[in-house]
Amino acid sequence: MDRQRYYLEYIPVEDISINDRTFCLSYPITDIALKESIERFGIIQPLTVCGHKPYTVITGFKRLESALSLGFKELPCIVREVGQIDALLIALYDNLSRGFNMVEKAHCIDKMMQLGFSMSEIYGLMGLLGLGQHESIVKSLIGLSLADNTLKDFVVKHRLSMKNIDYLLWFEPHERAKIIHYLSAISFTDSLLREILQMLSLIKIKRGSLLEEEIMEAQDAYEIRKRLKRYVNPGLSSLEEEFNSLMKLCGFPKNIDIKVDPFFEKEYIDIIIKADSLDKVRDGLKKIKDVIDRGFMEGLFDLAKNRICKDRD
Amino acid sequence: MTLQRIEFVKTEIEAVRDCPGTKNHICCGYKTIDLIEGCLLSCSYCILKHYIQSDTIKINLNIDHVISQVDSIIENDKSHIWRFGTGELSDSLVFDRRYRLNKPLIDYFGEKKKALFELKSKWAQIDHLIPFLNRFTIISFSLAPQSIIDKEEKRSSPLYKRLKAAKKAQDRGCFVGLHLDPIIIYEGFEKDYYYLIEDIGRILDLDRVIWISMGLLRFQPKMLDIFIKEKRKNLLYGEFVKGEDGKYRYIKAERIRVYKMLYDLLKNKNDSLFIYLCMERQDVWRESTGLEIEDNEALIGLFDKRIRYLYGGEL
Repeated sequence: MDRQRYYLEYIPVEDISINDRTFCLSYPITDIALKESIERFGIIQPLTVCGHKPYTVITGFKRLESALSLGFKELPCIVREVGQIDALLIALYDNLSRGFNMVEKAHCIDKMMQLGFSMSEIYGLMGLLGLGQHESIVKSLIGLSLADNTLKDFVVKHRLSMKNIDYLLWFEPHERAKIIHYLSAISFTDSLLREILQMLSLIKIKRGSLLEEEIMEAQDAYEIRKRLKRYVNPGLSSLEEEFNSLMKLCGFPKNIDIKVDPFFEKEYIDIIIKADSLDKVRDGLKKIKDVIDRGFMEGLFDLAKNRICKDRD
Repeated sequence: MTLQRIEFVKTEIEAVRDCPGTKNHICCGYKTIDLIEGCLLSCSYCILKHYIQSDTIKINLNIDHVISQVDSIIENDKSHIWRFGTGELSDSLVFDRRYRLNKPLIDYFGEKKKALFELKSKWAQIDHLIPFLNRFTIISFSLAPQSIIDKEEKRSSPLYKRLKAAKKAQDRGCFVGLHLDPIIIYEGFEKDYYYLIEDIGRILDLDRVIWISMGLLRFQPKMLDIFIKEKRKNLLYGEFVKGEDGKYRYIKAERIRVYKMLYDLLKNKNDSLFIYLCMERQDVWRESTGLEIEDNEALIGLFDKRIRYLYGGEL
């Protein structure tokens, strides 16, 4: 790339291809803070453009968007005489230091693919972007780059991990839109979202459609998880419910706890007495004996063996 | 689908090792021989392609070194009758007709007469081996209903060919092993497994089946994402939980129900069949088979007893 051949000039808006997004990596384009800044101070950092009239924008898409909405008639631009590959590299490295969100990373990879960069060059950039260097990740990123704005907005707003993006991309666009619609109203962590999306995928595979009513009626993400789990893990959910009801019947004081394997795999249960005196140990043992005499302890062992006693009540 | 490359290596690595087993599950004490790393069959549920993470299938040509390792184990540990097999990191037979890898091992075990060598496969070509087989080689086939073979084991031999090949080995005087592994719970699987066991009883001489293993589908967590991505309806039909070893497996109540059903069906065919569970918990063993297997050593002991019963003083 020739470092000398560029110059600064004010270019009328009509001489710029304002709809050409060939080198646009930014997402979203609208930036309220930037718009306020431009309104007050003007464009501090010029745009970079290339070619001849109408010029193609290389960097500064957010500035362009803000300036247009503010009615600017001409924009300060650095004009570079570069080819498409160098133009994309300028766009990439100009933005690299500010950090990309996942959609912008996807745009980078997609545009590199479109311009015929080699896989080693693409993997090199993925390393710089903190992405794993694998074919499947490239595929997912291209999927995200080509996805609708509903998904892109959701990804950026919740800073979704690659895993959750993959799950969302797995669904049909209309299903994805519904999922995003329901989830947009509630808060969740990335790991909770992963559990929900994984269960929804399983449900889709098993019954061919989503359990929409289960999601719609839930108040929060934990309730969605619980409702979906009843469908995906009916046996485990029954064991958990039976365990909770048995524990209520046992009526243990706070210093006695019964622990079972979360998946009811282990054959044994842990009985814990928290005590700081012999009296508390004696009281604890007395309570446990009482529970044994009432037959509830046997029920807990049955649960560890995955047996549910239907006629306990 | 990526094309796999075959690479021949002549290394002196430790190719013989204990089956890795799995935490808090009972293991049969199998010894694996890593003669080949990688497999052409690409069964949908198989961890191998993800475990090995290479498109290259490596074939170790240093058979003498492998045999010396086997020999050293047999000579240095006489506490049990050891069972060795090449079916852990590959299919034992899929390359054999072309590369004739198993013959030196078959010959070694035939001469040694102190341990058994199992060729575990889903590939039914054994004609080239028939003249060389001896009683110390066990020809084994993994079996599944044809509907599962069609969808999940696409590149492997059909069920009837596997059973026919096993019968050929029996006719040659060998004992055969059968592996119902992985057993997959899908809609209507009970009926398909019923007919599978009917076929086994009809085609094979059950008195010459040395062992039958049963192992319900289990897999590493990362495989779940792959099954979802590939929309593997059969593999995802049942209810899975995470075992103590971190692998997904069917919920315990289902495992007990299915093992018990299959165990009873097999025992009804021939009560003397030796049936074991692959990587299962003590309580699952107890509930489904009525056997109290406390630990690995107890199961290995049952194998010793079974082999002594069938081979008498020969071994």
